[in-house]
Amino acid sequence: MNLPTNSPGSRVKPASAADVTVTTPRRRTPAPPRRSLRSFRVVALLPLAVFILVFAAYPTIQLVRMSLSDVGIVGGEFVWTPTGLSNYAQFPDDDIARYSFLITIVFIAVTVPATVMLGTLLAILVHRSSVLAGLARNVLLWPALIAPVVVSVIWWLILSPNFGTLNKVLESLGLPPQGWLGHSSGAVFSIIVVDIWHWTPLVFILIYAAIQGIEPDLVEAAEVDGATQAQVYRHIVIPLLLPAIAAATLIRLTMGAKAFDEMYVLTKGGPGTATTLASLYIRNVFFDRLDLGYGAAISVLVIAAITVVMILVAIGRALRPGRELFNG
Amino acid sequence: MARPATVVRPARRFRPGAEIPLALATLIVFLPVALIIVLSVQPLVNIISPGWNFGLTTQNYAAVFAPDQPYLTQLGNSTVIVVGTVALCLTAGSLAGYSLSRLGWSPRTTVIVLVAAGIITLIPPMALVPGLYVTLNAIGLLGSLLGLVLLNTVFNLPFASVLMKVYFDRVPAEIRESALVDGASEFRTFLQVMLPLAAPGAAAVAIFVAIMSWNEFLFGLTMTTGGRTSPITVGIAALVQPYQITFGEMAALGTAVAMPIIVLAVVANRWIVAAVTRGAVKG
Amino acid sequence: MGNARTEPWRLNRRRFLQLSLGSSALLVGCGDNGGGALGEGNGDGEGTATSLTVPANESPWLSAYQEAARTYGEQVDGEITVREFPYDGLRTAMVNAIRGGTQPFDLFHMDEPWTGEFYDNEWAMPLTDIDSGFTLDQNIITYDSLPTWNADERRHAEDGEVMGLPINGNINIFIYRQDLYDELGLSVPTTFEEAYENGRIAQDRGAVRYGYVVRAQGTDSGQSIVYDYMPLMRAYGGDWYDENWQPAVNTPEGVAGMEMFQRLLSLGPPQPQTVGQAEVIAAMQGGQALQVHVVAAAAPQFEDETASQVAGQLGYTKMLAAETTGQSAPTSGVWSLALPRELPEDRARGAFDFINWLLSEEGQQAFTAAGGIPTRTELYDSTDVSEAAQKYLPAIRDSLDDVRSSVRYPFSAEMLPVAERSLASIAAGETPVQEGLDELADELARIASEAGFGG
Repeated sequence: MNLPTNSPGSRVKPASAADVTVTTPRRRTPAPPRRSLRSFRVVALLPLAVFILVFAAYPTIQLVRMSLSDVGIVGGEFVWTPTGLSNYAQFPDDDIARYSFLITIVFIAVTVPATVMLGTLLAILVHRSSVLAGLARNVLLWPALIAPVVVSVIWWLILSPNFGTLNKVLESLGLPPQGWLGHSSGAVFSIIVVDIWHWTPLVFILIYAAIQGIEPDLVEAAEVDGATQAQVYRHIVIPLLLPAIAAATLIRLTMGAKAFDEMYVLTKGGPGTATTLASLYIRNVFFDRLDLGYGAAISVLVIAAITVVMILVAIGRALRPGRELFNG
Repeated sequence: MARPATVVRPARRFRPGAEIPLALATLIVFLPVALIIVLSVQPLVNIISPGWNFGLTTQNYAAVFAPDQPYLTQLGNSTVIVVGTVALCLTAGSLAGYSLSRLGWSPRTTVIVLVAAGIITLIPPMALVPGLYVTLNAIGLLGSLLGLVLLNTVFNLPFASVLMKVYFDRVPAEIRESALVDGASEFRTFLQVMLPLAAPGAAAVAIFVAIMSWNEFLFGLTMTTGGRTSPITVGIAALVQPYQITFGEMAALGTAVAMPIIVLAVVANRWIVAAVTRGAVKG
Repeated sequence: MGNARTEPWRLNRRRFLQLSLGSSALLVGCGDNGGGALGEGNGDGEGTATSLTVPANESPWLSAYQEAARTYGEQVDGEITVREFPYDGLRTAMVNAIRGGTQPFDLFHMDEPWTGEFYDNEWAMPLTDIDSGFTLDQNIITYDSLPTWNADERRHAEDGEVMGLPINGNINIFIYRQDLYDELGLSVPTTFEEAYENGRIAQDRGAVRYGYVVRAQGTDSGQSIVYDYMPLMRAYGGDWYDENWQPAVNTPEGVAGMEMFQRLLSLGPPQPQTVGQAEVIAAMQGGQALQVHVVAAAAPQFEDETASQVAGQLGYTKMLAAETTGQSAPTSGVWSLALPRELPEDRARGAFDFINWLLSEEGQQAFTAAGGIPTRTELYDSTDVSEAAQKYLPAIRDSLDDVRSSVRYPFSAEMLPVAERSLASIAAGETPVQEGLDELADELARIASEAGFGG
């Protein structure tokens, strides 16, 4: 018996649903929810709900509370002294905090477009390739799978001014050695390069998957009509990829805001504070300076900034009906 | 439109315009990885001396995995974290995904729950660390592996739930109804009929969550104090020592941590690509 | 993904695995909680604990410490468990232990900069609390009053109470390539100026890549450029603060010290702000440097033939002096062992006995034989030390009279990152010397007065 599958154009082996034999005729009218259904559907959601409440909602409330207090830890207990907005008042005077917000924005503004464009380009290249496609599909994934700390170790061993492989290569070629990690601008450049190397493969796999989902008929029809490859890509493929590109962009945006691991190992936020992104600064305030209230305040500000951006994105979505920007 | 499943692929033509840049890209990706493998078997002298000297030694690995070093314990910690997180994410995620997919919630409720879960992925984990620190301390799990398992679960659960929901969406509703009509309870239906049909989704979730929790660093760093209490990622970071140079060991440990995942990716490559493809292509 | 018929069986096994693994994660999680051992004595403080848990940092002398602990454990029929942490994690672990209200550790293991903070906050107990008649053995080296703390004046002072015992007598010494000196006809320098000349000659003749390598990298935790700069600063007559807590970094003496520092850096790698401890050690170990001044704890690696290109070719001598003053000022980087204040009596007694033994001649013997640097005078004349140690211990011994403290103030945690950043910027030439030092002086004054000193 062939049960209709939900996804037209599923590209892999037939879903195992087709293997299941059903002994009774299908009902046309769904039964009303039974009591066991009602309780089960709630029970089934409970774990997720508990996790969200205990480990997301509650800590966030605690976070806001901390940002409005002076918090200390004495004898294992947290000691709270409400202080209103004084923690937030520190922020405008804090040069490092403002710099870290700024450098995070710069970081996102460069790495997100770069990884999205490169990833899309790679996906198209692999799609069009015949010889290297299999190998590329394998190898190109690797950076995204390696732990960020290991990625930093790899790039430190490459970029270190005194032991790094890059300088050994440059010297062999008679070129002057680089000292990027020793300068503010060079360090920022380095973390951007590392981030792009690390995460372009993620965009690649997302876009590649989307390319696989494009109906061959559309492309064939256009080619029959005499379109060049460039025109096919520009007018058919890329527009069809836009949802996936948008999704990838969104994912990369959130990752950029969260960036922490690579910088922590590669530059430790330095030289000085040059690569101290928002997450690194929060860690420093909270764990090195032990200023729990102020650390919480900065965290709240970061969350607020992201929320604002997301609201803008959501408004943008709402203004474009019929466009599915999220996959799945 | 019923068509035999084929992959969209241009006719097999050799296109240097595609192959050459691709070769370059593959090289850019491959070389740094090859480098750390090579460095991991170099004696320290070769690494710190100028010029190119290639040796071969197991000294770095021996030093890293010596019994009085904490790294083996840390590898064990990471393994426990991965196993626990995958188990919890599969359990909670498949239950939640199934509930949202097939158990008759109104679309509005579904969206609300998904958005609430999704918000977690938007917040930088470090911003939540102060709050989580206080919470874990209140429960008494600060510095424990269970605490790390729970934190890793929280941040992977939205993805797990959404992906399972997508896979459950693909399983026809009639199958569930048939099973119910046959007398199965809701739970049995879920466990023995629907979940097996969404097994590819579960496997994809398992692999993704395993990779994310194995590579996790931030919580391992902030919620433990290093040494034998931490996952291996923190151990690698701590190899940057004030008094010693440990580059060979850094390379060895980095290789040891990255290789399982890469081997997994190579072996299961076709399958991973297919899984992501299926997840990304909307019904 | 396979047949529906086989799926349920596999799935049930998976569920079982999930449950059992989940519960094992639970057990492991519970087991790792707290992570400390309780004393073997009764909980109410009777007797003396012989099973202790002590923290330590991952370092070259960790194995020496573990070896000494093992020896002691056998002697008292107990066990000393050493839990190792990376440098940053060690301070965090101890601070968490204090704030957490439990007592996972029976000792505090403090780097020198942390001692001021720990003693000022009364996180450690004076040793006279355990043994009212306790006095510091005359043969224990005090490294500019490291063990004693004057609580009223809030500083380390000779007339203070004994709070912690010194372990691993780390100070910086001057190390040079004897073979290159012989080849070029250079004599062993006693001043920075002479060393600069040596370095310049060697570089000009192409005998070596770097004439002098020293740290100029600023770090966010601990002392990096600060530690390597202090010998120069003090040799020329400058210091962080004078007796009235007024900054003295930007005095003419301080400026002279920084200028000499810059001259030495010019003989080193082109990006001095990237030169950290690892780079200094590697430069010497890889044969690229003629001269370095570095903590003695790094020395054993240089003599390790499997890892060092220059084993057996090095000379060791005390820290150089300034030509103008003739003063040498090696900086102490010695660690201290202290007792947590809230420790129950039986464990405190056990810990007290342990550190007393460790600082006795016998204990120091065990520690030094295993590769540690002794903190008792007798051991510097002993021959029961490793071959490598025989080369650098005399240099340390000669330095002991001139040893100066590193940054130990109660406000070190605030002061160090500021000093590190500022000095690194000046040393790299990004900020002019006088201007940079003046700015640093302002910051130092502010930090000190906010902490209640001077102002």
